[in-house]
Amino acid sequence: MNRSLVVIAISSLLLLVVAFVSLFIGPVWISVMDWNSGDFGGNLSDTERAIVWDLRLPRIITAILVGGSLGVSGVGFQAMFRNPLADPYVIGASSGAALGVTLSFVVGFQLTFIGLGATALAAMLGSILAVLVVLVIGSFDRDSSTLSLLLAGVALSSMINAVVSLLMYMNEEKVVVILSWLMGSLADNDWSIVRTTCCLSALGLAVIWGLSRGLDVHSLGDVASQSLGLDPVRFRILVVFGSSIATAAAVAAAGIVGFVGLIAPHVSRFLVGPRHVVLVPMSGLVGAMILLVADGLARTLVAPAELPVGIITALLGGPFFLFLLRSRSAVGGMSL
Amino acid sequence: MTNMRAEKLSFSYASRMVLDDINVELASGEVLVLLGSNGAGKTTLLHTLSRQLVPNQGTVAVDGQDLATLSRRSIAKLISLMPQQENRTTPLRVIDVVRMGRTPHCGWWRPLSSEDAVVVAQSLDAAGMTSLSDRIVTQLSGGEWRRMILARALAQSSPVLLLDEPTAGLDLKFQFDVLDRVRRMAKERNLVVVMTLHDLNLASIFGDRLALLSDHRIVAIGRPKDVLTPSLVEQVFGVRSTVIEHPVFGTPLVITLGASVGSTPPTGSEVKEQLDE
Repeated sequence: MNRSLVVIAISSLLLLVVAFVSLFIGPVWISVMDWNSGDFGGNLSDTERAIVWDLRLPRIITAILVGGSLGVSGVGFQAMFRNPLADPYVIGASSGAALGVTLSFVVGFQLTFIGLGATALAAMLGSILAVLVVLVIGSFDRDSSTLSLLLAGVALSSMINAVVSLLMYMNEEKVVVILSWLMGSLADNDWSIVRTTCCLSALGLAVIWGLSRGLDVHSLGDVASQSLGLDPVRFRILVVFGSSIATAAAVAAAGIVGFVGLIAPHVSRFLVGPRHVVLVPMSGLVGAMILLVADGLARTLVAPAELPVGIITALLGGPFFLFLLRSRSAVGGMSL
Repeated sequence: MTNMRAEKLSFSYASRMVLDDINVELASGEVLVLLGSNGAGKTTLLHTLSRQLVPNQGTVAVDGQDLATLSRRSIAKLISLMPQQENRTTPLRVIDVVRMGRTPHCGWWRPLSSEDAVVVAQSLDAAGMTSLSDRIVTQLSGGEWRRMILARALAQSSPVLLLDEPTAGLDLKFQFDVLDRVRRMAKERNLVVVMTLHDLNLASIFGDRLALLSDHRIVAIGRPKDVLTPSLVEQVFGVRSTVIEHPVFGTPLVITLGASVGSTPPTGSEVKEQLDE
């Protein structure tokens, strides 16, 4: 436990350092010296200050929140399905979000609510609705087992993806906007989105972290966990609720960013072991770190243009995940 | 003193009847062993008694409290179930798993108190697992793993203990070790113990009463010497046998003589004469 706390403390510090450094990199490079010599950026020009305060800081905080949410949500789903390949999108959240966004582009919604624009709102609603439908379908099964949830998620995702493809096919002129959103991006995030994401992420984290003991018990299997007093149906609903809120927060702010929610839990298990009381916050930190670094690369590699951050996470995440799989201990507790 | 009573219990998977009109009453300090051929419904009965499975009919009550009216957590305070198998791939430490036994008492939020820690330590000790408490679960042998699960079940501090095949896959030494610990716990802590076993002779040594399951029902229940008769063994297991007195324990010792093919098995005295020769 003590070792885990040290690892978590060091990772938090490292995250802060990387976040601070990220403030100064991008298409416009800002000198750290200018920042340091003044009073909180006092020596910066107005433009530089605007870049730091209004563009980069909200973007960096959003990256941390989105990455953290995906990491936490990934732990929740992997534990609930007892499956190392589960990720935040496993029961249809991503396809639901994709459908929401596609519809919003095709129909041209102009709604805003709690700081979220029409696209973000459509993504969030889409992902939550898809998860709810999966829960309802999954509950048709007498025992409402995790497997039936998983299968319901796969089936619904396939159907929704087909509808998304059809809509894109019928609206060729909007394909580029939709695709760029589907590939994930942290651009265009402002303080209002930070606030909303922060609230939703915190709620998701609180629910999943609060269920830590239950997640440990659940890992033993259904018979053992019921014998230890866990109500399987209620527990599954709570985990899906917490994980889906976190996923929806991430989707609304950044679109679909793959691999973070899959990798962060595995890296974290390698670092702090399988107990969820330390695994959940660690996974949030690792997810935040991955997305922060990936976003740094996304906005510098082809500057002044930007790459979708989802491309970076998948490009780097894939090989890294394969590397992790070579070490069985890295996926400890989640045998493939 | 605890009392557990199952009345008119029946259970079926879809249209397949597994249990029909099961009635059983148990008092604290008593060990009941469920016996029956494969698929007779022993595990299903244990799961129905612990309400892991909801019976189609009938009730299970502990100290007069109908389990149907209790929450899953309240049931876990009354009944602990040691499953036949569970996921063993999570590399938790033994003490972490045994601490989970306190979940019904702590809920999902409250940290373990010093009293909980005492119960966990006592349970590890009773199961002979204290020296292995920091061992990673994935590194345990089959016998050690069973003892760890027993420690976790004891840490639940419930008055009823249900064990599903506690000796499955264990060496002879560990079979005796686990069953001896269970029996001692039942007597010392006044627990109601119900377990399923395959070995008739171990059941005869360690069970106060035995229940034979066949055709969805309990066909016989009582002391080992009343239940382990050649005719009942043949009826339930389809094997010819003879029953003699165990030379050390004085319990019935079932000697199987092969599958039933109609011939008359030799009597106990005939077998004894042959053994003496």
